[in-house]
Amino acid sequence: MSIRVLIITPGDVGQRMSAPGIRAFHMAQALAQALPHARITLAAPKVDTRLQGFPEMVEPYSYRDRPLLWAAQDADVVVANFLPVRLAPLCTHKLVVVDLFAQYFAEWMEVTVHQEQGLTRHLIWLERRAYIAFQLAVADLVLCANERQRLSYLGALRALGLRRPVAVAPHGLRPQAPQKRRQVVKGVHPGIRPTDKLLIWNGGTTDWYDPDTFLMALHHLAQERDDIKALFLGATYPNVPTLGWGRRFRSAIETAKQLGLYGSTVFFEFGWVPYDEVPDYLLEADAGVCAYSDHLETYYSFRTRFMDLLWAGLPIICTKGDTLAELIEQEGLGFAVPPGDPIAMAHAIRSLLDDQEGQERIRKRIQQVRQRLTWEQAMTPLIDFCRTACPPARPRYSRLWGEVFPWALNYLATRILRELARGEAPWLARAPQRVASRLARIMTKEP
Amino acid sequence: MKVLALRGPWPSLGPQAQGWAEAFAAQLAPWLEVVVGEGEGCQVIAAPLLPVQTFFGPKRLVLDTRPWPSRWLEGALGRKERARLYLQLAMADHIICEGAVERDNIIGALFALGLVWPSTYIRDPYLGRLVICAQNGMDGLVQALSHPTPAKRRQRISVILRKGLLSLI
Repeated sequence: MSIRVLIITPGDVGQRMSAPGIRAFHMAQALAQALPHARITLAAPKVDTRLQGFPEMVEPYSYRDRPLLWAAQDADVVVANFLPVRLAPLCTHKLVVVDLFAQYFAEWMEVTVHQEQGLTRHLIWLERRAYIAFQLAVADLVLCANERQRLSYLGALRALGLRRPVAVAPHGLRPQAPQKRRQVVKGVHPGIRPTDKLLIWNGGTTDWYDPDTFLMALHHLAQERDDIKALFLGATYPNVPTLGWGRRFRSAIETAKQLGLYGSTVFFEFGWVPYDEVPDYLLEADAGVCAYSDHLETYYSFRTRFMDLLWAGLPIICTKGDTLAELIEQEGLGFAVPPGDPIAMAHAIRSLLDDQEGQERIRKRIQQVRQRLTWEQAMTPLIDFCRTACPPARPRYSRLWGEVFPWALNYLATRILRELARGEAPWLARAPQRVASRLARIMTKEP
Repeated sequence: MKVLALRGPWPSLGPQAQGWAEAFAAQLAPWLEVVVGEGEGCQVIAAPLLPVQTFFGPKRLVLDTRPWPSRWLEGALGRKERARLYLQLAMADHIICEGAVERDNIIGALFALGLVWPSTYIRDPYLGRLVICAQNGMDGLVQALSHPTPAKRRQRISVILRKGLLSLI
């Protein structure tokens, strides 16, 4: 009998998708190619099958319209970026693969410290920590994106008293060659001439990015020339309203205005560029740029946005600190500069844009590296797992009660506390008062 | 600054723990005046197993985890040993580990155990003062000790130990 695989992603799959949706879409593609007899279902809040390369044998399932449990009932293997807590009982008789393609402890800590203050901040952190622990507890296989993440998840699993395999399955490059369909920036965008050099900031600007260093570097360069332009692609994150238009993005706009770069050197796309239109932007660019601060999130990160830049053959200028920056340095795919150093970044931009031969050399090296960054290779651990998957012969209730439920309850309890603290659960806040008044009425009621 | 190094009474660690204090003192010698043995004037207590009576004192506590990560990851530590270890992680101001691999393991463990709070992260976003790699010498520890306050506020709250799992309330 063919294996039935359900892939669940919290992000939409369609033209407006960010990393979780992109990853689930290509995961489904890779599984469909490697396991032609498998029945694969791709479940997302919204799935658009008109997306270029959507495999025919993959069944789309929009769980905004229907309960997710219906799709999960039929599956042998459930692959989820985050498994909803309500599906926890599935782990008794199905195999669960949890896809943690970031070090979420560090990433959510970085988000938490910038979002809230005082008690609410601590409650949010406790809730998020319990949610990640729940994901680790419910998994039969944990996927992550690089070796650093793997080691930290192994430590976390050991600390939680769990034994689970952790495999590295990074992001891959789109399978089809990039094709330009129309001119979108140079000579089209007001303020960007056809002869200008274009730098692309690909993706959104969340808390852990450092656009200010990039903007300061551009300011430095703007003193000597006016042919370097920068375009920020993406402002609102699909499905994640808390990430888009965030503190960092707004401060980037403010900084650009203060430095006199807004609308003359620096441009912003206010929205989210459709997935199939991204190549039009990338193929007009001369280089991709990204900068981030020096902290734990950066150390563990795998910048998925770099994958599209490499796919389009763009040299990359970034800050040091993560594994892809190491790859860029080692393989000569661009420049990695120290974090928070606008002068070094300006120097790197100048060196790259003024050296046509150097750019060609980098593009050739990218062509060589691209061959080993395919989705099929990246997803090998998952493909192997699904190929040999054997659902448990008898229900694993001990795992559910002993390992999964404590964390599910911990998560739900901290969530309720957090909602109470933020005043998001007025029904819950009023509940003790209602119970007390009902009791008082019963007590005072005459026999 | 003086450092007081204590030998950890952890016989189950075997020969690795033997001579720890001398080795630790030797590593710190280029940077610090090191005092091996107990004394009143010390500011820092370092050991592979910190004595419980030091937990609530004002001195800076340095936990040297180097003898145990491989056994811990292999699951060779018993329930009590594991619980003791997590308690040590909770109480330590600075944690020394062997290299980058062990550092990643320990950071994952600290997050999972709830020992890294937002306040810790704000003070030390790289956790470089909390978890120190000894691979390239003790420079990192000396820098961390030179900082006026430790990155992590010591856990002065009740601790429940259950099945070797530490949870804080």
